Amino acid sequence: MLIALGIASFLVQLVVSFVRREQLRDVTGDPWQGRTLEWSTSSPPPAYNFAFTPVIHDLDAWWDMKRRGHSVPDKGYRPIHMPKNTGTGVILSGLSTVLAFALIWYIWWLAAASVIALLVVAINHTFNYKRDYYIPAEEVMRSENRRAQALAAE
Amino acid sequence: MTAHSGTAFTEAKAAPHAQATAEPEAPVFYDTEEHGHAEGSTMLGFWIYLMSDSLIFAVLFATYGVLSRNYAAGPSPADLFDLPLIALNTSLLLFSSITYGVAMLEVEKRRMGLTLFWLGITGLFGLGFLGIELYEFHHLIEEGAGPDRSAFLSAFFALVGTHGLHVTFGIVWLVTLMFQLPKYGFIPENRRRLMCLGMFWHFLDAIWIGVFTFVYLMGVLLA
Amino acid sequence: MSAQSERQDAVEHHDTDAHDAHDDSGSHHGSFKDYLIGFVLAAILTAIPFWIVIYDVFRNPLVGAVVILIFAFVQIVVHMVYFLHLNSKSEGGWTVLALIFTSVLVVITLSGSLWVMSHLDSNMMPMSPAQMRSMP
Repeated sequence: MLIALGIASFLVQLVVSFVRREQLRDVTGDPWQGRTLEWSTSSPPPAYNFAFTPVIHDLDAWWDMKRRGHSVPDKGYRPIHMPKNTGTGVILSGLSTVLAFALIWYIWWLAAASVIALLVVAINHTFNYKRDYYIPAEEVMRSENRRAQALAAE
Repeated sequence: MTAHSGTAFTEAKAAPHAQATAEPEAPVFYDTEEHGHAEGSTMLGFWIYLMSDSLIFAVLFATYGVLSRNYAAGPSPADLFDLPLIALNTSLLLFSSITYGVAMLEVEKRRMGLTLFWLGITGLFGLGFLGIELYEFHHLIEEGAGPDRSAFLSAFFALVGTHGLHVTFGIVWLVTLMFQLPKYGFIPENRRRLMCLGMFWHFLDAIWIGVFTFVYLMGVLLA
Repeated sequence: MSAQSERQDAVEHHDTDAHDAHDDSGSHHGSFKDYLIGFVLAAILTAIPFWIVIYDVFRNPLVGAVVILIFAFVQIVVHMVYFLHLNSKSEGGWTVLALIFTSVLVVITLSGSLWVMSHLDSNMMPMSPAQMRSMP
């Protein structure tokens, strides 16, 4: 009986949350008065995370910042250095899984093939010298301004 | 980029300090000065990787140390090890370390032809080392002293084999760099890669000192 | 600070040679003399142990073992100093610190394993090979 009540409560919660989703929606990224820095960004956060590196003064940094009157600078944005995305890591992991499978089951031709594939992919990736790019300051500014507006509207 | 101004905007959130002017002594919460990122941290990172590799070899050495007398009524080091051949092996690896050093000196002088030449010689010495090692392994297996003969031999093949595998990967890396150098030149990335390979190569020679002393020399001495 | 240094910073990112001295401050290049000294030392430190073993120089093999281990340790130091250019200043001392830490772990692993396993050995009930083979 109790279990049925529990399940029912869960289902009711799902329905109510869905029906009231517009009024319940949070755009600040900090719906529960968080104490640590991940709550200081938007949800989802921008690719560059922080336009300016936060300076930590205490353990619960975000809490500390809120308490002592922090303010996010709205000028002086810089281009942000970012690494380029690459699929190599995932591909190598997949190939390693195949190699492990082959070694466990003594499938020697597959083991040899996956070792060669691993080497080829890895060496090929080393020929990629263009590993980074910069997010222009204007784009950082646009994204930060959007966040400022969302926060101001709260 | 403009210098940042003194005005700031506050978060209009549920916070008691919502009113805005920035006090002159407000603690700094955001780093607006450009500090430049950690360039050149790769070398330390690679060194730390080499330290972790040392731990792998330490365990293999310890395993060999514990099992080095477990002959299972089979052949012992004195029966198996050909010390003059190992002396030759050791010299090849030592020479390869020197030639790599000379190659790095040529990199400093930005002389592509000589750099490639000395890298090539290093690779050849490395291949010589591997060739002799593979010949030794083949010979041992043929004589019935393979890794499955006794615990001593299992530990031996694991330790020396792992070292040989490392040398193999080093040679693959070396050959790859010999293609990337003429193609892209002495750019910082390539120089960094060469320094890392150098560290790797010298590290392998240092491990080999441990191998030939602990395994081969002590094996024959204390048999 | 301000605008001018910002511009300078932006420029320096693309001026790769400006970072030359910085880049190489990790693991320095040595001179040819360094490599030569290192090579000669390493060659001697290799030849002597081989000679000790091949020609049975010490009557007591244990003495020989200790001696060649000392030679090995010294030669590794030679490699570190002359080929790897290890010094206490590189990377603000972190290189040496990492090395010391790793050495401590290696010593513990090696000596600990040998000690524990030899104790196990001497504390086991004596058995003949026939008995050993018929264990479950």
